[in-house]
Amino acid sequence: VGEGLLTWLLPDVSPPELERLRKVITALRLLRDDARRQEGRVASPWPLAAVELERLVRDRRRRAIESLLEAELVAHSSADSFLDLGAAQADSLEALRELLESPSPALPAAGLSMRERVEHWISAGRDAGASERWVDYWRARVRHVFGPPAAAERGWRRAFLRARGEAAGAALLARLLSGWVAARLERYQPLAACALCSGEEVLARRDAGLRRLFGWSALLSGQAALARELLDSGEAPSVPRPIAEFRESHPEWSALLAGPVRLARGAAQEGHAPSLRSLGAELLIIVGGGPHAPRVVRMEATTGVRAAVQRNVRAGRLLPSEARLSSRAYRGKPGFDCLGGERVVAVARVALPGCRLGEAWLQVECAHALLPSRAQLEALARTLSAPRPAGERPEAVAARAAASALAQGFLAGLDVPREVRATWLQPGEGGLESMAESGPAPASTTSGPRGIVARAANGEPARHAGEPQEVLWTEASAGVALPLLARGGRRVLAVLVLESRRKEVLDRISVEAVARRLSEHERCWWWAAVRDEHRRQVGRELHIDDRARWWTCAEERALAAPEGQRVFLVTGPRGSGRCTLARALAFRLAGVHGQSSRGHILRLDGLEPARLLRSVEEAADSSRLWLIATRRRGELERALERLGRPPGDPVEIVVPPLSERRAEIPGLVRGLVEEAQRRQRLRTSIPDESLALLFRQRWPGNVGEVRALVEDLLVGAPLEIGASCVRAALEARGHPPCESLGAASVDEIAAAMAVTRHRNGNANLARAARYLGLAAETLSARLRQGGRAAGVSGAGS
Amino acid sequence: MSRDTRPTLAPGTAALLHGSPSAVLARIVPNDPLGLRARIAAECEGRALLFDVERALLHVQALVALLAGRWRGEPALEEWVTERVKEGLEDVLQSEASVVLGAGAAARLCAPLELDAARLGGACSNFNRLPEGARRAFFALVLEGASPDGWARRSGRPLGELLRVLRRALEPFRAATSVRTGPAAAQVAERRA
Repeated sequence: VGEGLLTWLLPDVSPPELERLRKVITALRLLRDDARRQEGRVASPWPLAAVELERLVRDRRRRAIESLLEAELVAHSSADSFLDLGAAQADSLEALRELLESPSPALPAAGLSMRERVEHWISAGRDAGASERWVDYWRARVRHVFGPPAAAERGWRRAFLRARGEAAGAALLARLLSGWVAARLERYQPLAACALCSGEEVLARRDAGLRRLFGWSALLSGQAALARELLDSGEAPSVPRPIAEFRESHPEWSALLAGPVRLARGAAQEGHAPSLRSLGAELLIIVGGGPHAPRVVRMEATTGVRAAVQRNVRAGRLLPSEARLSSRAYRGKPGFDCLGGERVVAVARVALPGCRLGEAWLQVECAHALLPSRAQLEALARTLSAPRPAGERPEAVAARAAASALAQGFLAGLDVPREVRATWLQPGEGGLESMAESGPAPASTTSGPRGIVARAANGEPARHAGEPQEVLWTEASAGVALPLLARGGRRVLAVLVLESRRKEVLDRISVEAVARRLSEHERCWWWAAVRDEHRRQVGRELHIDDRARWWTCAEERALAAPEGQRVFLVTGPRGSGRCTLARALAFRLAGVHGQSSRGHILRLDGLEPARLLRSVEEAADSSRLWLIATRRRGELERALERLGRPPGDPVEIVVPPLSERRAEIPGLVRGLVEEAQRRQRLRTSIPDESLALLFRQRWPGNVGEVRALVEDLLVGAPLEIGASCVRAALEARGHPPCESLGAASVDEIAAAMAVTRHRNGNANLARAARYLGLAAETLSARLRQGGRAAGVSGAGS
Repeated sequence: MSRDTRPTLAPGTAALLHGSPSAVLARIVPNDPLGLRARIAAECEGRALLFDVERALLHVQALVALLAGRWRGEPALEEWVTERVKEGLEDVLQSEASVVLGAGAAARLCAPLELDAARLGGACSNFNRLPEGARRAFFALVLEGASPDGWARRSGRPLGELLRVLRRALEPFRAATSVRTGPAAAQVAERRA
């Protein structure tokens, strides 16, 4: 090829690359000449042709099996599924013919179930020489169609990581990633789906199906510009129902979301009760209607949205049933009864046969635009109205006598009507045992509260009138069982049973208030149980290590206060955990002094003077008052004066900012990541380098800032939170990452030494130096100069 | 620029297609009585495709042998064979780099020029997925050495667009020739040594 043409085409190419390119073009010319040459050729050797024939037979058989597998899965998949559907029905007939004409068709036996047929085809594919990756891919697809979305996501993730580890081709990786993204979309996590595609952008831009899913994820998570860039005007083979319904509501997107709506072959998913988490929503509310005035039957909401909903409910914005005509509405549509603020809303009618309200409305509000389709929402509503299947009987844990004191304290503090009787049940050696009771003295009590644990596992208050074997108090005609669950949510630590003589159901608002108090109680219960257990086994108080030294001081200070001490002042910067500490101490003091009331916690931050005084007046009758404040003395003194007593000596407990108790940071980050892992079923690793980087930051926003950062990191890097991700996230938040604590104080050095110790208790100087961003020699020198004198030991414990 | 050299079938060729796939294969491989190689070469030239004709021939021969038993005289044999050739070539175009550039051609072409056969096969595979206009322009200007002005005049497209199309067609080969480290590069270096 002429030098001129190449330099004209590629003016910026370097001479060595030009040389390589010329060689390639020479090879291509030879290839073309080879094709043209007819004479002097040697015929294909027979053995090679025979091998090719065998390979072709195997390939065609495998492709036929793939078509049949597709046909089976398509027949079962829901129209709401985001999974890319493959072969059409006609192709599967052709595939069946292909198999029938082969020497060993290996068709499934008659009478097999769909699942068994699918397994048969996968085995047949393996027999036809398919690789393990092929089997992984199809197993993941089968799990996606037959299992819940969370299991599907786990399956795709495993298959993708395995294929990537084995350096599989880009086409297979793209198909596996498509499945993973589809599973995330089916879990109503468009933002997470979008983040997954962004991390694999090369793959996402190469494969048309994956690119389309990327575009949909971007659109549904509110990134319109990215969605426009990714989606082209070509027609998709099929469009899932949620996308089709979005297209109906947004005609301006119809050109980019073109394609026939997926046929409803399989049923919309039923059997899983909808929850805030499963729908990726911010508000899930059931509003009862029928002949009665509208009222809230059940509500799950995130913290920010809950307040808005309560405001709207108080303002009477609950529309009656007749007004709820639309099944969905998006932002900017005026007049719709969006209760949680400016959100995307979907509504479906629910029949509630056991609730006397007759009919109700399930309303879902999301911050993103991925709503369940109408059919899906109606299926979920049907699930709500259907009788609950008996849940798996949870594991019971042995009761500890010491915990009964806490239970008594809790019951004494409950604010329930007089005719309601509360019973605290804890698993003991003979099953559930009544540990404490409140309310009117029972005329008679039946023992053997079987069924309560199973009902409590559902997590939903349930009437038990008409179920005599579950009634504790024979005069009761209605009641609910509220579980106190262990951390994982699978173990019932105790059950609180509320029963009433009245014939109608218990007042739901009171029950919800009790349930809230119970959930607040959980952490204190765990902590008390741990301490009791330690005291029983070891014979002394639980020793808290250096990392929680400030907590020990705070607890000792609170316990040293006289029994009549009324006002406690918890000061510290915002987000440092003052309220958590106050709750824990209040509970601890109530237990120690055998008091029923834990007192009132009053947060003074940011309250306007008038509001502050009103709050103080409301709390004036409280036996103990926990004031949460920053160090603004004026506000505090005014508040104390208003309490009718001189600003004497409230016991002051200081919570230091997170930057002064850095030793907690690694544990806090690990805890937050583990919590997210449990929630999202992800296995995220966080290398020591990232923990060291997080350890060095200033954290002006304290714990709240750490939590927000970890949540961002988990969205951006769900598999491994590397140091580069942490740096990028810090920079995105406007905090340049601190790479070295050059002027580390003795406390900071001590914190680094404490968190980096070997398991045997010896110091790990190199690791501590990494945490501080110092050279090991520098750290040694610092320790020699002053660290040892301040109690920081370089060796030994 | 395409040269249609498709052969016509001699009378009685249909008899070759009777029997089991192995038997048919044994008849159509020696001397290529169906003229499959010439048909493949013509198709390759006509559609401006780059692949190893010998490797594609193996696949098409196997396909014809496998499907011969399904031919019932309709359509005419000539048409049926042409359809199988096109089907076989589609398979090759969708398959991996080692099929696009077979081992024989790789040894013949790449070794003397010190090129990485796998990367060149992958580049050919990517080239074959480009729009036909880009492929034709590449064939005419780069492989045949035609004048850009003349080609632009004949095709009725502006020279600037031609330039853009040619750059796009060259892109797979540029990617294949970019310097990289790894096992393939080590193999090339080893061969060079």
